[in-house]
Amino acid sequence: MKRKRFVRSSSLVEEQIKLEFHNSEDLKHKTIQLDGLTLILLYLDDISDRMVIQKTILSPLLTISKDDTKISPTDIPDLIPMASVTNIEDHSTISRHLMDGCTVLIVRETTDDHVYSVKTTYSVKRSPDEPVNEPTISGPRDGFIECIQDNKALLRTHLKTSDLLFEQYLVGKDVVTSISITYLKGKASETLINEVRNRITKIEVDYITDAGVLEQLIELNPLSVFPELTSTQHPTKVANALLEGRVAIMTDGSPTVLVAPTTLNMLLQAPDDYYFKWIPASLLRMLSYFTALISVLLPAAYISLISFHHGLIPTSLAVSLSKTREGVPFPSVIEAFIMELTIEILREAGVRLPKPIGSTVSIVGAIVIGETAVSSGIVSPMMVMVISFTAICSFAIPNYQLSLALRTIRFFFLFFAAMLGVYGLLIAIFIVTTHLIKLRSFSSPYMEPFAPIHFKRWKDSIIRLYYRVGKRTGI
Amino acid sequence: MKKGLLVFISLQLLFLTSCWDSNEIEDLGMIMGIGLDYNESDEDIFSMTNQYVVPNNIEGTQIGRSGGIPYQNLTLTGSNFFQIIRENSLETDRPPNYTHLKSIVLSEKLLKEEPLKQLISFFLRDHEFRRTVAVFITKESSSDILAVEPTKEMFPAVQLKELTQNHDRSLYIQDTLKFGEVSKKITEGSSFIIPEVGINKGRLRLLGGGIISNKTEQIAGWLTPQEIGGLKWITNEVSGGLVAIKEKNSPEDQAVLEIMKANTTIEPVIKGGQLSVQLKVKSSLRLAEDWEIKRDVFQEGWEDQLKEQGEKVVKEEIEHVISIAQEQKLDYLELGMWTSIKEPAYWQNNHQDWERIFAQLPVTIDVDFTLTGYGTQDIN
Amino acid sequence: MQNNQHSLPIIIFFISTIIGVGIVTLPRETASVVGQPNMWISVILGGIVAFINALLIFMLMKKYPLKTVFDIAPELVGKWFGKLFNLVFVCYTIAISAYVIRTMAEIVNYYLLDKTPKIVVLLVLVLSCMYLVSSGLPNILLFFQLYFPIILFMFLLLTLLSIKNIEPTHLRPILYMDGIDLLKGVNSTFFSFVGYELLMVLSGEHRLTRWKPVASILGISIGSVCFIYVLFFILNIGVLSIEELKVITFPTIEMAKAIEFQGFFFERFELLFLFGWIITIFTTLTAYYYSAMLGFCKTVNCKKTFLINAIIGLVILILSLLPSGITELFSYGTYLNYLSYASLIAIPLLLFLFSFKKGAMK
Repeated sequence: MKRKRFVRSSSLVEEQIKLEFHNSEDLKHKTIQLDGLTLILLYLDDISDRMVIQKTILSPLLTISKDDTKISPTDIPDLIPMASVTNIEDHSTISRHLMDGCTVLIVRETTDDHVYSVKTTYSVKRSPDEPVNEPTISGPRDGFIECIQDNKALLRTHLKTSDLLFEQYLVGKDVVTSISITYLKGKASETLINEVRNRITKIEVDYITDAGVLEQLIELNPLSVFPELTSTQHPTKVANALLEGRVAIMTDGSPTVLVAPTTLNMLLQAPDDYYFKWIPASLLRMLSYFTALISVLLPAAYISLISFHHGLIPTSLAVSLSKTREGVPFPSVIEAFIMELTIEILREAGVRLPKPIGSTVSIVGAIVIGETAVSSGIVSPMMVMVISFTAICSFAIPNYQLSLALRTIRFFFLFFAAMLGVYGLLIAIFIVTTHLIKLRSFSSPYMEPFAPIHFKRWKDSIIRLYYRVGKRTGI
Repeated sequence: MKKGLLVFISLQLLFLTSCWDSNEIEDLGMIMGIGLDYNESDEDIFSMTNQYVVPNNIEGTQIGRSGGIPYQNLTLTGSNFFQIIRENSLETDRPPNYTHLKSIVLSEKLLKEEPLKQLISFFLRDHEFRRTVAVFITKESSSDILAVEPTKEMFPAVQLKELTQNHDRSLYIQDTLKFGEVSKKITEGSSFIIPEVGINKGRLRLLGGGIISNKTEQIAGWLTPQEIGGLKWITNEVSGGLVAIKEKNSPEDQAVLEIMKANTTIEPVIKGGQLSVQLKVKSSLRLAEDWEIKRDVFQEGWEDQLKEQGEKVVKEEIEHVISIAQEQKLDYLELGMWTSIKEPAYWQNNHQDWERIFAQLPVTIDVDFTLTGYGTQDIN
Repeated sequence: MQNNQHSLPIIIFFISTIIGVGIVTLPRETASVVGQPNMWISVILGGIVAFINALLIFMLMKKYPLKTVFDIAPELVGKWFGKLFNLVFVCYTIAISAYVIRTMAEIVNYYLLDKTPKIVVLLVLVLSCMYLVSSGLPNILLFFQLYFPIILFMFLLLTLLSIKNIEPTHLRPILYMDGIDLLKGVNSTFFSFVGYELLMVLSGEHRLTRWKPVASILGISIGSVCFIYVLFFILNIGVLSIEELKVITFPTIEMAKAIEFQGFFFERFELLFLFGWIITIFTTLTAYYYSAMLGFCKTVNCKKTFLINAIIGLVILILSLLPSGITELFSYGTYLNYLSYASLIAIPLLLFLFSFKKGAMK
């Protein structure tokens, strides 16, 4: 659908708008005669607050009319107190203002129309609660919501600096979504900002429904499973990233904010790492690296040990393993695939089901896999342990996108390990790391600070060394 | 495009391949111990006992029937070991796997007939045999040794290996002789001692050791446990044990000293082209058991007599072992090694002749004891 | 040139390239020639010779900044002779890659995968390497940097675990030596330092012209490799003894196999070494593979395409499958040494002399 161009000084602005909205029922239209001026109020009934319209527009105007003074159309903004009034020069934007919940005030003089928009939004929004998928233990507990204005406000409260800049872009042909590039002037490098701008302006798409969609539109490696941008709903995480000189991209209508450039290291950091003392925080960091490794490698390593290199298992373990696998009908590879599949299905089922029923899934899952499968001899207890430990480890990864990526490549590793044992596993690791090395997130290497190697920056990667608060270096 | 092609190739590869080496762990015949014997018959002169793990009979886990012996010994004969191993497949469905092998037992008869080097050549070549496998010799048949029911461990072969772990508790136990060390001794061309194992009242028991000669690589004699003790003093392997003193030659009066620390240094001395060796033993001990009533440990000088007697006992033990070795002309005392390290020039010129030199080598022994204590109380 | 940021990747490149097959086979080769407990001195001597040779190569490359040996050879000795030189060098890099991966395949077949055909073992390796090589030199450098700490960590861990097994008596006498034998050993130890000649290739993308930084890059990389070799020699001799070294095919792996901690969760540690070692093989292969591809493209004047990449990979693969067994492979190794003499010493020296002539003519 193409938007119709408005011809300025049309006597029928309101008619054209009505046409544009296909005479929709919720587009309300009210005409007031006031001292020779015709005031036309246009608003969308459901998203504009009628009480606010009454209070901020109608009652001031009506009280003034009694005073019997001559009003010029340009005085209107001053007459309406406590409301943000903008003069609309370009009439083609009227519909957007309406959709934002503004009331459009058309002041008709004989010669000319003056169009003002008054903010009367009736907000249907939730409070900035803690994001469900990124819970933290300490630190700020607010989270982004679906309204970009409120998100900007949230970010402002976290970063009270005049360097914080928002650049607005409108993307989408059918439905226009406003996207805001956010950065700290002086911290983020100009080249980075330009690259983000470039990629956003190059988007040609009909509509964007969520930041997740936007992410896929501005990525350069659609074949990669690894996320090229960090997506988070935590204002503090975004604030931290901005302080490091990164750029955040906000999307209207989505609680998720994208941060670029992203490194693997960044995806493995939980936001509250910075709020703890550095020794336990470092241990937590190492833990999250460890869990990431385990969640990718453990099933493959187990398979390659148990069906290829028996000599490398400690003797006592080997003896008991061969006992527990006695009578299992499948080769261990198939066994692992079955178990992995079960776990993934259970996990998906747990996500989809409403919360009260969700717990049943876990109970059923625990009984089905943990007990019955083992006692009926379909899988060996050790395999159950390995797979469930892997699953737990992948839960512990702070970033969901990354955990999804690692879950995917786990099967790749499993495949290679099933074919060539430890050697195959190593080859698979080579391939995946080659891919990671080639990967660039907005021109910066994904594996920073491990490749290119920056020993000095390791202090904020695998460990989180003592740092003086507020004195962090940029990227 | 590149990426697509690569993905294609790797996928192709995945479809083309199958898992050549994949072998489930429960399908393996894990072998814990090997016993090698010699048969008097004409054709199949060797017999080999493989101790298989029977996983189903292992107790302590949830499923499967428990009870029963967790191992199975399979003795087969043949003219070479590889053939015997392959013949195992005629009687068991599981391919033998030696990666978890713990001990090898050789019988005396075997080592009398065949040189050790040839015997173990197969085991050294195959990568499944690790260098940490323990090696034993027995005067009985080695299949009998592996059939002895273990007391604590699940498998006789494991029990056997664990026994030698006690070498730091007793003076009479030699440290585990690992397979790698056997290979090392053979390539170096030196004589050595294989720990001997025997059966005592239905239980496995470590005895002394069998001497392997560097010339024939066959068994050349035996050492008693006491002699093993003497040998350990010489080779600086003592890390525990006791010295028993019989005072005044009466059976009632005796004292036992516990060895806390011991160190032996061997110093070859060349005087006028003539080599002699000085053996210095330093040890600190503690009074552990005392049958002498009159001793008062709170008086100075109480230890003098004990010290002297203990030194004498150890010195005699050492002298005895040296005399045996010199009689056999077999240098398992590592004197040659120390000479080569400390007097390389002399060794360079004379090592061809070492056997003769060793047989007449004058050895001065100097034992020095320090008594550090008597324990927490003195009951006498 | 910012010193640290710039030279660390190159140092890592050299170290990862140099360490390869040598660490596994060198102890046996040297033991059979030298046969005395202090044979690690040969390694140090070999390192010094390598360093001098590396400096010679540097002196040549210094005159032609941002050019590889493939660019300057036609310039100096005429187009066709230059191309011949280039082909010799390309052959050398291909031969060395094939030799390296074949040795690895032998070891993988011995210790990890008994029945898997060598062609599969090698094919997967070459394919994954092809993927890395196709991503270009900057990414290769990044890859090396990523694995460098892992390699170091594994070697360090192996050292720590082996210390318990060392018998000091095997290492003595230290000072009693036969100098001529030690010098004979240099012949084989020198070749285990091969890898620095890729300076002639690296110089195409990095400005390596100043004495001090480049000399320190070469010094640090050859020095640290030398250190690692000496360390492993001492471990090998200490754990296995000289006489054993002469008869064991792959002593370092046997040394790793001798580590056993009873009752510890991991009883066996050879996997740890094999992991680290296969990584070093992969990095060595990558470096030579890339050089071969670059050299080939520059010689026949074509672009680096996927096809060329695949052809070089195929040649390496076929060449590596030629020897029938380990004995034949090692005898190929001696031929390889002649090729190394040609491309390590003869080519740079000739080019160096010609560069003087050219300079004088101007």
